[in-house]
Amino acid sequence: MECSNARHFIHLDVGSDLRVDEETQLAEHMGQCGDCRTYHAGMSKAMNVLATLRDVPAGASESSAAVRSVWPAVSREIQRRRAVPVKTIRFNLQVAALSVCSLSLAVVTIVQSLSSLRGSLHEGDFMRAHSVSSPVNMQKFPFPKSAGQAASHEQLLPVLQPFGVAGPQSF
Amino acid sequence: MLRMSESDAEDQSLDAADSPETGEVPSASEVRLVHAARNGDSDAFGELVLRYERRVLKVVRRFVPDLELATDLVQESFLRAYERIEQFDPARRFGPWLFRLAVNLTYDHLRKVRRRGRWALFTDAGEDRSPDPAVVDPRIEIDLSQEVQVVLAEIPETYRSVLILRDLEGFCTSEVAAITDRSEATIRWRLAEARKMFREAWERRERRGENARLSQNGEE
Repeated sequence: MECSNARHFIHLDVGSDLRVDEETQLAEHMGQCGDCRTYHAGMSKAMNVLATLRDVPAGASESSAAVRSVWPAVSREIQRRRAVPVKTIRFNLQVAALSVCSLSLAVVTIVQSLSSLRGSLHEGDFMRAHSVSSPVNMQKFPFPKSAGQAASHEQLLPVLQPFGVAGPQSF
Repeated sequence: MLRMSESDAEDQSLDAADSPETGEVPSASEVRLVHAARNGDSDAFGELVLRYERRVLKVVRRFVPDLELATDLVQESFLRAYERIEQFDPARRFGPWLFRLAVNLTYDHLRKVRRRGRWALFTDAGEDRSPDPAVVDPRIEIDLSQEVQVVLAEIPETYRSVLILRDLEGFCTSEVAAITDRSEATIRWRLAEARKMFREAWERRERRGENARLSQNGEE
């Protein structure tokens, strides 16, 4: 047996917590090892400190009369808790149904808006879809009907005048 | 050979004999009282309270020396036991189950106090540190019981509880295993470590006391 294992056994031996076979092993080792014998003596000394306090309860200065029974208080509390109606948690179906309806409505609205937006984008009229929120009324804006037809300066001027564009010189 | 660890101890528990405490047959009167209490007989529960309250209080006061506080914790332990008595396995002994409730409740309380202290602006964490090393440590004058309490406080909670239950309260290792809900092999390993830690802390304290006494004599 190595000393490290013997020390582990010594820690148990000082409280008589070794099994018979372990005691035999430890005795054999201690017969040959002076260090472990010294360690055992030191360990026993420390354990004696605890042993002296075993029968002394913590805070032993109070007389036993000061320590009253807890049963009257426990009994009162048990009766009080019995008297109080037990709160039962019930599932509120109305609130749940209302929540589900609201959520479904919101989902339907969002899906419809998205599909209409996608439809307008497919037609290639993105600007018209934004005409309401745009500072310039795009519906009045003279977009070319085809790629080859560009808007002339005269056509653009009435639209741009509110934004400080006076004439051709300001371009 | 390598040093044994807690996990090794856990493995050994498989071949070790089962905890005799948990397998021990409870006394007939205790079985009757527990059975009646489970059926809502508060008088039967009252008898169990009277039977165990002093011992539970003694154990709780090892962790919380203040009598009022310890009494409150004992009271709460019995209330919790009454509320959870349906969960108790009547084939086992009532005592270890009750002590487990009490010890857990006590530790919950101690943790709560510690947490509160951690976040408080001002704590008394440094109060037992002498500001001037030349000043004699006032703890030299306090009695042995208080000294042991101070030394025990230096040991981590897991080990301290095992040491208190085994070496101060005299429960056997199988009972400590039942109270702490650990295998007996784990308890034996923790007990060995706890005793080692106690010895080291005690010797450190003795050395500090010796140094303080020497410096006091030098000044005189």
